[in-house]
Amino acid sequence: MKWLIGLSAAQLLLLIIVGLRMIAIDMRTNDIADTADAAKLAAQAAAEAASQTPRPIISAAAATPVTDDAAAGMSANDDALRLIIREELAAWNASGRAAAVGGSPRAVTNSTRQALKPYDPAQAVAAQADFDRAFDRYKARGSVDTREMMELHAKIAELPPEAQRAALIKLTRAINNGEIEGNL
Amino acid sequence: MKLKTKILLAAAAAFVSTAAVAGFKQPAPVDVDLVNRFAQGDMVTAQQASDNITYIGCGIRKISTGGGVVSTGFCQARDAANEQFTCFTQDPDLLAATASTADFSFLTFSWNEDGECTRIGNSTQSFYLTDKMVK
Repeated sequence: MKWLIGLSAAQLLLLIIVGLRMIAIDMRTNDIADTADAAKLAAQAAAEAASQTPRPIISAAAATPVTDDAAAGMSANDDALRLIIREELAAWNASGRAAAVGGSPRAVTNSTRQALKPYDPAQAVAAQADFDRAFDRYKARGSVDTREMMELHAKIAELPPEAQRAALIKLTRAINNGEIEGNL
Repeated sequence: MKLKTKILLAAAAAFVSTAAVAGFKQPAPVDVDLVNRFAQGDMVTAQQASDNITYIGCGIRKISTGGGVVSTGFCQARDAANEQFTCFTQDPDLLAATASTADFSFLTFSWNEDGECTRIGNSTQSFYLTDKMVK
């Protein structure tokens, strides 16, 4: 009988020890899980911040799927991650400033397009000759009607900018001198 | 008060009232000064001039080409003394001035030795309208 009571007490003691050990292991497991979750959240936040930049982050730390093991080592990569984010933000800001200064292609004005127009020399010569012929014809006749004036302006518009100015000076001078009667 | 006096007072009041409605008037006949390269005048006075030569105005032409839209503005005037001048511009700000001209504006413009407009002004005021237009 005494033998049975001692055996039961020892079994109970062992059960208590095993139970305490299990509780300790469970607490340690929870701690590890909490640490891993925190690391995952930090990695996700960093990835989201980086994803708002026009260029994707191509560092190994961000491209690799986060595992518990990797998350455990993530804190060691925090500084590297911050550095990457700073670099990407700096690049994004720089590209934004460049767009603001240079303007988007749609913001290019007509006058800018006019200035950028590559005038073919042969085409410019032909346009100049076209204008000169019309001008001489109207000057010989001494007058130009409204439709012809519009056509004359259309010919002037085909000239390179500096030639446009010269043609307009020539035309207005002829009108003001009375060589060509007509209104603009 | 006698009836005759009342009628006279009513007639006087009506006259005073008409004068007040007409308002201040300041017609600006067209003047082209070729020496100082300057012209001015309001369009209503020019249009209603007793001669058939006076005019003043500004305009703009926009022509689409392969390289974009080419805009050319111009102002022109001829006065009763048959002095006339036409100036042109491709300056964006002066082009905007030509485009803002109203139907009954007073206009003023100047030019350089090449005939390019250097100043373009316009002003739209009630006193440039004639009695004939507001009655």
